[in-house]
Amino acid sequence: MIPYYYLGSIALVVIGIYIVIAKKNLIKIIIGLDIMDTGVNLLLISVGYVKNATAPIENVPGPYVDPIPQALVLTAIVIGVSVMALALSIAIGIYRKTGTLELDELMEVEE
Amino acid sequence: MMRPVLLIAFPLLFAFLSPIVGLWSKKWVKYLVIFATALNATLAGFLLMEAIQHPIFDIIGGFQPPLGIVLMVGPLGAIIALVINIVAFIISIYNLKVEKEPIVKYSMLYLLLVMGSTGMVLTGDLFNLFVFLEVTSIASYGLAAYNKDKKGFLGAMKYVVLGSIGSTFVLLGITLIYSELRTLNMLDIATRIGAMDPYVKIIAFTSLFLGFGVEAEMFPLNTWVPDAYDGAPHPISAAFASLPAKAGIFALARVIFTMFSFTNFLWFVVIMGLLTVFFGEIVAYTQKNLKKMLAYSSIGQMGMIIMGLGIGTTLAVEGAFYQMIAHALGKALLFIAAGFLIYAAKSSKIEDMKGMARNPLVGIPLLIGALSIMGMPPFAGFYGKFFILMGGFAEGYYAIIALFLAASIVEVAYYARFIKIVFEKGSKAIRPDAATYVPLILLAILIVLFGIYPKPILDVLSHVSAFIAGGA
Repeated sequence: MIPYYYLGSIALVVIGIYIVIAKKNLIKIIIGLDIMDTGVNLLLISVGYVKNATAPIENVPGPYVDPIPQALVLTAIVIGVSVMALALSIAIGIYRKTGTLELDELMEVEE
Repeated sequence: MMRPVLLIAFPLLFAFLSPIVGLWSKKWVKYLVIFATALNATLAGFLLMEAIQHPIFDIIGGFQPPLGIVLMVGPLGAIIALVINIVAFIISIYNLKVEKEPIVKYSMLYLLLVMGSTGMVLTGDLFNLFVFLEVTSIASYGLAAYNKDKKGFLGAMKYVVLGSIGSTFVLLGITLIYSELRTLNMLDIATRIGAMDPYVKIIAFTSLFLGFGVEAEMFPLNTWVPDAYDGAPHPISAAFASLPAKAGIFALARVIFTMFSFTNFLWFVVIMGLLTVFFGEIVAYTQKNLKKMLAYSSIGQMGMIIMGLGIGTTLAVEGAFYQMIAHALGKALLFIAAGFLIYAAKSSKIEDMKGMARNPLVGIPLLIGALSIMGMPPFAGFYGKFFILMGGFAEGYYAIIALFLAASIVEVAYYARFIKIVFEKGSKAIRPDAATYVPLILLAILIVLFGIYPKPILDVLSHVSAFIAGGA
């Protein structure tokens, strides 16, 4: 039995990939990347979920959730944020140089 | 005992020291980078001498593996780290030619790129590998856009989009492995990989393979390569071909051999490698822009390495590793020479470069580099291709070997055309300055040395059978 949150996160990844492939606007593509990232982060955090468990703190009686995915997802979120910031700043640079963020127009300008 | 973590700690230290040095003198920042990479290359040399005797495990932060992060350095990892750091050192000499501001940030990103690529090769923890992959890619994105012109921005944008798709897939693969095995240590994964559900195993493998395939310039996800290489500053194009690409392909080898130890799924890798070779070589033949031609040729070479890994016998993997070393040296040389030719011709079109390489200080290294990439004896590139071919023959992949040779002939054709144009009698031969010809000559010496006297490398590569069997 696959838990439903797995389906949710896979759906987010697929939506993200669809946006990256289908959309022609750079900002939308960057949003698509972010959605994809969120999907994987959700999957990662749900892997460590244990029903009715608490945070793994000393002196608190268990059962505990798995703390490693939480540590991993924090790292992954930080990395995702920095990639987004960089992608957006590159998009700003493209807009300053060409005056457009539409992929079709950018490809025309290039030729 | 030499701790491999120093190879990661020193570049980080110097990277964040460089803004402080930059307050005092911008010029000395460049020398700091040269010093840092030279130190790293020396340390990598000591590491190799020790790793040849026994694999080194370095436990970080006092947490015992499999929970804690561990660096795992076998002889193969050590030699790839050594090559990465030597090439990084040689390119940092060529960095002296970069004049565009902000040079301090450039130096920082360059050192982070070196540190990330080295880390990817040395680490023995899957999530740590992902973090180093991201450090490498973020530094590369920044450097690809460093020129701040339209070409640079567009190349960097393509790189960011494909790179983050790739790293999302890597993270997906890591998540699937963790959900089944509850561990991130590579050797621990390797011992328990049989317990994984076969479907999840294949999805995880494919995700990791595609994800690292972005850095390794594998076929469907490599459209960023020509644009990012073309838009980046010349030293960075050289660095891209030698540092992150080699780290990515080594991570791919880790995934295939150390973790999954697949034997019956490798035809998939061979086919992907073959597609990459064909895509790269044939498009390279049609290119008129020098840096784009070299970038596509780089894709072709990486495809050959992937094929060698996919054939999977000791001989072929040995060839793949030799090819990695030869390609790191040869492509760095060609990109540095390309930087000089573009500067001399004031154009990036090959046809405008008539006779530009007639000065022997550029011409002879350029010729050596091109011949080595084509795979001519007695240069370093010969052994890699030869071993991959022999490995394929021994396994009976005759059709694939024939196609491989056909692609190599295309490669010879466009390099020959390029060489003919740059050595034609032209108007004037411009003399390069020391920051250009010193790295060219250093790389050419290494290529000839590894071609004439391959024994030390072959000694190290004799550990390949242990690597394929799932060792460090």
